[in-house]
Amino acid sequence: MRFFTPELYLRYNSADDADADRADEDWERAIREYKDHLSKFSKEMSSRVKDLAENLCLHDAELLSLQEDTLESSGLPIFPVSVAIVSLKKDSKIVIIIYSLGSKVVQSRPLEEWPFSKLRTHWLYDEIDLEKQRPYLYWHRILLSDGRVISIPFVDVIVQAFSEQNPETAITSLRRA
Amino acid sequence: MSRKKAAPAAAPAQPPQPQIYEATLGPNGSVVRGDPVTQAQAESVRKGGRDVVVCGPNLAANRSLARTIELNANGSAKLCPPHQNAGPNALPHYQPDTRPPAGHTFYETPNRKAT
Repeated sequence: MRFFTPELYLRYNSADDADADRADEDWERAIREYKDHLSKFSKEMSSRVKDLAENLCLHDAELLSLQEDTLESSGLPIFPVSVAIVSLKKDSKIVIIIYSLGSKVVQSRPLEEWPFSKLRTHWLYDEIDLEKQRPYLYWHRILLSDGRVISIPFVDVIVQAFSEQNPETAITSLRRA
Repeated sequence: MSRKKAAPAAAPAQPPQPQIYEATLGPNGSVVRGDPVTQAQAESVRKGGRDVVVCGPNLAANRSLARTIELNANGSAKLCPPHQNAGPNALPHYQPDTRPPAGHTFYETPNRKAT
């Protein structure tokens, strides 16, 4: 994470009022700086990446699964295709994010002093970055409630959300970029 | 020459105490203030999984009261600053470290207010 770092999150939770007040100011600054950062490559983003970066708020969604895999077929030049699938539950909705990967997903270990529960992992904060060395490669970095940071390098993404009570909408919905 | 007796220093003004309200979520991440409640009532609202908001000009006092409400209601309290995509009116909040119950104890900051 470059903006909403685990360290800043822990300072925000500090029991010391002066530290926590400073962290509040630093968090507001991080939001402003992140929006400036996004605006620098906003025009290069596809509508789907832009939606993920600028509109989607998955804070407090429960992480159900994170799977990284490769689609293979011997005869076709487009294969192999590496994908990552993140499944989440937010309120009464199921959200599935499918990333077309540019390289391997990276997971960092939590800070040693991470004080929060490692059970029932939730999505805390996330940020999108553009890989400058490689055109059209983005990074989605996600801070989870267990203190891990998941970094997903991707070239395109599909986000599907549907009601847990009415999953038919998942079967019939079709959206193209 | 007689010296006038200095007037006794005025007692320092007490900062206004934070006020607690029931709350609901509005558009663009806003937190809509409802009826005022006591701390005990707020803890009961939180035990039921609904939202409350602590309002006032003092950030530390708001945060401290919000934390106490969440701890008394649910036994644990994790503080979450506003998500960047939650909207300009989203408020920081305490929630249980592991859910359930649902809901949040929001509080106002110098930059973010309930509506």
